[in-house]
Amino acid sequence: MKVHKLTATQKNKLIGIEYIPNCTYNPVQDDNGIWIITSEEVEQTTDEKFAWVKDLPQIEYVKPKF
Amino acid sequence: MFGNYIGASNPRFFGGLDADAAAFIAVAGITDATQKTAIDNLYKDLKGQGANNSSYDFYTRLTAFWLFVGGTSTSCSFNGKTPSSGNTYNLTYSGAAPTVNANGIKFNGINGYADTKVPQNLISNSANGLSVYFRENVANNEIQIGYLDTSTYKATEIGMGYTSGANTKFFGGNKYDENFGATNYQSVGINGLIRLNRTTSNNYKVYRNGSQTESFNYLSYNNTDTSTLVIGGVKKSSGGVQAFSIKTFCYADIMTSNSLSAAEELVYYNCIQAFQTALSRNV
Repeated sequence: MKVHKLTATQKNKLIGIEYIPNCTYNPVQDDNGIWIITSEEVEQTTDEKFAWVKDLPQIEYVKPKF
Repeated sequence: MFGNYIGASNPRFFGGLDADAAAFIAVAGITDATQKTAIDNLYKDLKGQGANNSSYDFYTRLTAFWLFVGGTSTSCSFNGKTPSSGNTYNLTYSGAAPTVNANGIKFNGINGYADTKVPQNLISNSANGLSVYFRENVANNEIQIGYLDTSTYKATEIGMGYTSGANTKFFGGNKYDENFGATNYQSVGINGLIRLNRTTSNNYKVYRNGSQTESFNYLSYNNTDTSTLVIGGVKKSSGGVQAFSIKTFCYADIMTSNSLSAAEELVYYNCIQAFQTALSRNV
């Protein structure tokens, strides 16, 4: 599954921000410690202030071990 | 519409509907007749006034419960206890928005969850309860509902269906260390109504579909952290959520300071199962 890669600075800009009503971005780390958000969050972003998420590079998701 | 009405305690005011059921139906925008009847019957059952329960008042004991009905993330967000648009325990979502259909609500297993807004420190050390009802009989290392103190690894959480060697186990805690249960669920199944139930400060139990499957003699611990429990993963005291779930949830609840007896557990299950059966999503 493809997800979108974030820098730590980009991650901090998204935490707690609603991208659709009653739903916030939730950047998480994959098994390699890389911050990611999902394609659903990117595709449903309409706020121009966060349009930069549309340009985030895609990577393959690696599920963290737990 | 029914948020601040006069005569709410009179069920006849709503054409026979339980007043709280009517309030839920209104705030959640439920229009389907089958769903309305199922909701009304559930409220009556929870109050000890229904076909499946005429003895016990579960409704008063519940702090919050979520019905995951109505087919939208908004309709699924409302707390069923004294429902209103401004209820403290209405769910908020984070990560990829949940998939919602007639079977309930499903997160993506990567970063999606719902925040219950119920602080873990409100949960009593001597009497409490948590439930989830989910459909998939599929083992996965995930937490369905809960909170984890990441400095001590003590938790209040349900993780039903962990793989442990060749076995499928309960994993979780109740105001205590995370632990595997003794039962192997590989052949009996993990889905349905899973309840965590603490009736004393030195013992808690796990029930599946009204029957006890685990008993832990662990003394509860004090923790003043105000982090909230989430559905679809486990909220960490250090921030963030982990162990995301891929189950389809049909019901969840929290009792912060009440519990159920063994006899009540079975009746409670019968109430919840009747609700799911009426919606044709029972397992």
